Amino acid sequence: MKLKFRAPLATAITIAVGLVVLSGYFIPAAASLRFISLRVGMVLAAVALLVGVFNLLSVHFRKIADKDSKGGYSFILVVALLTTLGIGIYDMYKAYAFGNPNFEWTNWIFTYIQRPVETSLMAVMTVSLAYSATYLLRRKMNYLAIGFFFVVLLVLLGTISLSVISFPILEDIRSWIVHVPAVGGARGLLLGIALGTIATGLRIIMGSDRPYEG
Amino acid sequence: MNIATFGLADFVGVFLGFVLTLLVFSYVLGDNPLFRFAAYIFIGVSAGYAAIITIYNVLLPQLIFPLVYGNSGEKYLSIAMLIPSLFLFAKITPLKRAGNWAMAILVGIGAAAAVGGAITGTILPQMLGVINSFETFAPANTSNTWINLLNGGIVVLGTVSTLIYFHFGVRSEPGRLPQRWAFIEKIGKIGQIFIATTFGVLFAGVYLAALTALIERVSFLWDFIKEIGLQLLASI
Repeated sequence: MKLKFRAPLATAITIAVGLVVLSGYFIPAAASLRFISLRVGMVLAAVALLVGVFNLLSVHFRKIADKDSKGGYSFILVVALLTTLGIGIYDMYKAYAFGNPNFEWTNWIFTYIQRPVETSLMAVMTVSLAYSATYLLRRKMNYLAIGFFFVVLLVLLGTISLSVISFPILEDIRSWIVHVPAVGGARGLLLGIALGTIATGLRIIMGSDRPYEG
Repeated sequence: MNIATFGLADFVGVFLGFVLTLLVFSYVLGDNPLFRFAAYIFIGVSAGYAAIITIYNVLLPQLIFPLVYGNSGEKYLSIAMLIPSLFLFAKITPLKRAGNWAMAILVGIGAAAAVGGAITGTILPQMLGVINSFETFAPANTSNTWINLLNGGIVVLGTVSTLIYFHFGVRSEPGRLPQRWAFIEKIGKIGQIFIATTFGVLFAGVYLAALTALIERVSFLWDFIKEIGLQLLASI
């Protein structure tokens, strides 16, 4: 058997750091080390986010420079990103230089650009969810799909309260479905996700998975 | 919406919000350039906003200020964080391998935090929740012991059968296709019913949230047309 052991330094660092943080959860004496490590992790995650933003910028700058690809949308993205970044840095400067931390223009961008688009995307989901639901029912009509839609209808009718139409019995049924069988299923799903997270995390700490290579 | 109280910036903002809402709503007719225009603006603004929040809330108070104004211990810790932070930027240069060790620190901390968080934040509380589902204080339970027993039994059955549904271990016998145990298969079928019920409840919740957003947006569009659009028309 030929063992291929790549990135030994990075693997050793992951194992060491992972063990230190993990021991902090179970050994009280190591708790302070865990807090310091988590602070380091928080800062590195923040820097990784900035790296991601710079990567996004560089990819779209390349698309703008490339004559073959349609760079119009990329230009819009770059302008929107740089404008937001510039305004945010100006607000930050005002916050520290003049003690005025109200972030007036950043809040303006959030209130009048980001929030309307986010809410509108959520609103458009009403149509796409209804379409995908009917598509599912048309393609796969079995007892599970029918049960799924029955539950959706019961929960919707039991939740929407209109003064003209009121069905107390539906509200009781909705409450029972939400608090008993759905809770059972949700707990099973959450436990399954947690077990999967533990398995993946342990594989990384043991060096079997090395997602930092590249 | 009261335009009498609006400044120029608010007026421009509301107009921009109106236009962007219409651009996003054009997606109902299918993917089109107007929707993409709004989507690209949204991605750019979101990325910029996330960067600003990150710099202001994390990097300045946790890295930069301790480095400049902190005591010697904080300065050493900040330098220890600054070095891998700078190496992380190597990931977007041709020297991307130089950033592997810094990424390894982040991955190691993240993996360990995920394992610890899953045990203390999900496994133990969820197991306690299953145990407590027979108690009178559990939601939907009453003072009637038999109803509590029935409800608790259903929650336990739902939890166990859902978990078993995701058990994909198979028994392999010569000359036969690998199959799950018949017992696991049957309990898994019950688990499917609980999963369908849970997803139905989640779907209904998401749909109601989307419906609320739709009502808010339509109300905003109507207010805009009523308050600003009609006045503009009247002035013309």
